[in-house]
Amino acid sequence: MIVTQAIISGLIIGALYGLAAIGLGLVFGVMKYLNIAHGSFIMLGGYASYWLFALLHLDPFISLPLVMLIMFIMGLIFYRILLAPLSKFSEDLKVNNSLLITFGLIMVVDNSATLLWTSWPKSITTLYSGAAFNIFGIRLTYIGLGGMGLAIVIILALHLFLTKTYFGKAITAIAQDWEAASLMGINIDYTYLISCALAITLAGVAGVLIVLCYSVTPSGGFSWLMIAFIVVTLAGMGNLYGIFAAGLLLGVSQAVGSLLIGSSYQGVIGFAILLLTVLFRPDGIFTRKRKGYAR
Amino acid sequence: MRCSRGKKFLLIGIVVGILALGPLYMRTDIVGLFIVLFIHIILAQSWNLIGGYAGQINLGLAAFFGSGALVTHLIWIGGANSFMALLAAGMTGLVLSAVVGFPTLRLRGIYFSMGTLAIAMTAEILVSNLFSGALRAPSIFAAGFTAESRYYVGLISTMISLLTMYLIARSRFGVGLRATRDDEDAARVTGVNTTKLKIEAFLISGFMAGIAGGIFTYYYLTIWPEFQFSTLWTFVPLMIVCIGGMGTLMGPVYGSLILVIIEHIFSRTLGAAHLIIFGIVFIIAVLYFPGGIADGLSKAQKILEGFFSSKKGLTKPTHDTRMAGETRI
Amino acid sequence: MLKINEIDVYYRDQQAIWGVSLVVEKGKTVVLIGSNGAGKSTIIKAISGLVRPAAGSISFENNRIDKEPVHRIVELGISMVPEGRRLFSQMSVLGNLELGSFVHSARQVKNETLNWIYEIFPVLKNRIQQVAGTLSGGEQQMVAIARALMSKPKLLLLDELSLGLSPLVSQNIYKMVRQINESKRISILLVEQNVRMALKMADEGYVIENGRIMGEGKAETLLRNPAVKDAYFGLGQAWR
Repeated sequence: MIVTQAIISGLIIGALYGLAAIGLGLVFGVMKYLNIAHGSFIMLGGYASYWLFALLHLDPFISLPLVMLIMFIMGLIFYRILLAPLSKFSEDLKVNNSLLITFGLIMVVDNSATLLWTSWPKSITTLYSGAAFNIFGIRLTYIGLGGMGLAIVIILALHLFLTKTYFGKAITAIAQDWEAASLMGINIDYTYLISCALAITLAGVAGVLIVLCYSVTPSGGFSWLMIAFIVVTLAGMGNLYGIFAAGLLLGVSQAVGSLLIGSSYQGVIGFAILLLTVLFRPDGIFTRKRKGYAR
Repeated sequence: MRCSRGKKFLLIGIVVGILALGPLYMRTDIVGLFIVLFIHIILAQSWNLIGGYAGQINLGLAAFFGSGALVTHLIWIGGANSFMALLAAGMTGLVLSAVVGFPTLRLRGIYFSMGTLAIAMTAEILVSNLFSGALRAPSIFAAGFTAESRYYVGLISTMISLLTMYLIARSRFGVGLRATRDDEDAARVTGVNTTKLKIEAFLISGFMAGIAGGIFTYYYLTIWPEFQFSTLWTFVPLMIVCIGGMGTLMGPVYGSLILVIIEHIFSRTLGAAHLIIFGIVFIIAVLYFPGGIADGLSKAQKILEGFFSSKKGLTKPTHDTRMAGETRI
Repeated sequence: MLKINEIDVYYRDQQAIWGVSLVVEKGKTVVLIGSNGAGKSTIIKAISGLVRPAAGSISFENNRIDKEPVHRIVELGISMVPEGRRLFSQMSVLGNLELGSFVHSARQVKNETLNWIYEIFPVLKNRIQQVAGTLSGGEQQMVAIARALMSKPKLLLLDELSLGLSPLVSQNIYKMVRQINESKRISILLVEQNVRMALKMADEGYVIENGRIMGEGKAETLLRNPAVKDAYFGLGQAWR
């Protein structure tokens, strides 16, 4: 019974993990840049929702579209100012410089957040915050279900977007071979711009759920960045479809694992999974094992 | 080069001489500033070795620095002399490098960077749970404290680290590192064992970072473990190297000089905001001035040289550059 | 319709192309021949926008294109089949072809174009849902050409078609290319190492060596030219 509860809870948390990871995976898959400020953007989404709630009394699920819009605009600016100038560097330098710049961005964003909003954790408590119901002895919170539902909707929307629209197909093409994609008449810079904005928007959505279920702090981005990175590595860098499944896997592993070793060491499970993946399946568990290693 | 070998050695000798006699004529607080400068230079060179020369971005430098500081404190308390404590600090950094480096340096750089980040995060959490508040050195140490001794330890360590970087840069090891940085696949194909080189560089880098931490404890006596492991101690050296000039010998020195001076002048007025400004300057430097100050200085030197030398420049070849003897079909 | 005027192109600080000028007239098939590394591919890449000339100009239908981004050049009507085909190997053949008609003007007539493609390359009709990476070399080359045609180009650039293909397969494909040129009046500029095969199906040719134009003229003339024969028709290539 406890195990089933753990599995269900793990799935729900895993959906959030997957959501948190998509943005990171999208930017890396399309542009090959690693945006380690991703965690900070997640926090920013949470803060946006928090302030809309605190100042305008808007329920986070209602203010979600507005938060998404804010994050989308932020993503556009982020790409234009920080990522676009990276295109002049050679392929090897690009990744390294993206790491450096986004690290610098973390410093700017996190410290600005501390200055503006202090480092005290912020979270949103609504009427339905603790509410749950029981099915067959399993406890399900409304927020948990809502989050899971949101994640599923987003995954489906993303899938349709990638397979049915020309823009989505362009993204898939660029992820495989950007030069060939440009020869199709695809405007690489524009695609990068919109993909980045989308990625940041998705990060913001994750942030909204996080500020509801947990809390946000200026430096809280790092741990969510790690989770997103573990999920993306598990799914395989550049493999967008596996991310949701990988998130679920991580969530369930942590939930079940913490039954054995206690919940305060949950993070260790995540790192262990990362280590195992990197050692034995560096291309992700969903990609067929290629000859050689992850180079 | 205009500057002959002999002239360069003379210049270095003069600078070293001036610095060596420092405590004799400097005010105590200036001596302290120099010690801070030395710590920053060593830490920055540590990052520079693995980041600038080998092209692997270490995002968890704070963990190496903090471990060195912590271990020095613990060993000191345990009764060992300062030299052993410092050495232990270096070894701690080296061991930590081995732990992180062996699994991650075989793979693409992003795994290394995230691995170092993970270590730093874990260390920060562990340490703040195990040691809360300040760790003070016993009073006997405080009694025997002289700024001069710390100054010389710092100066000698800095000289050694600079010499090490200089020798590495000119050795086959250094060439291999740079080849790995510029195009690892190409380097591999020509027979360079890139993984081995990366690990070796990282071990040296970890050792240096540990030493920097040891000197820190040695000077400040009281350390706050949480602070020693904070991301700040990763970001500041990183920034120093990128602004000063990644992958150069003097870059970290220039960057450290500027940082120490600016922090000294502005730390009271700006407070936390100074990190935001540093962050912005850092981003601008990476995007638009990748060579940093070192590159700027060498460009300035070339311009000056061109100014003073005679105009014997090469003329552009004329358009018909067919080689003699070729016939048009 | 395509005019290249005295371009210099650098490849990573090394000059690769020196003062090259050439012309492709509407409806013609022009071939660039020369030995390996002579710079032929670089010229093609400069036209498509993948590399930029440091000096000189490239015009297409009286529009300067040497400073335009790649996607813009495709929109203007120049389509390239890159060296090594560069298919999206994890996508289906249909997926590749659909991407080929990404340009707005081509999207609307996508199905029409597809039918025409099936006429020229009947083999593809059966392979349409297959994953592109699993096709044979010759079939992949056909997909690559078809994909480039989906954007309804006025000028088709072909970079080393025969690489990795057997002579028989290459010949077959060149027949299809000639058919495309004649039926739809699509101009063709191609780079080919198999000089004899290339000159046999082209109207005009340019000889490139060491990044410079060493000769030009009608294809039949070049075919009979003794210097060309000596330089490029190696031992073992029987020819009549």
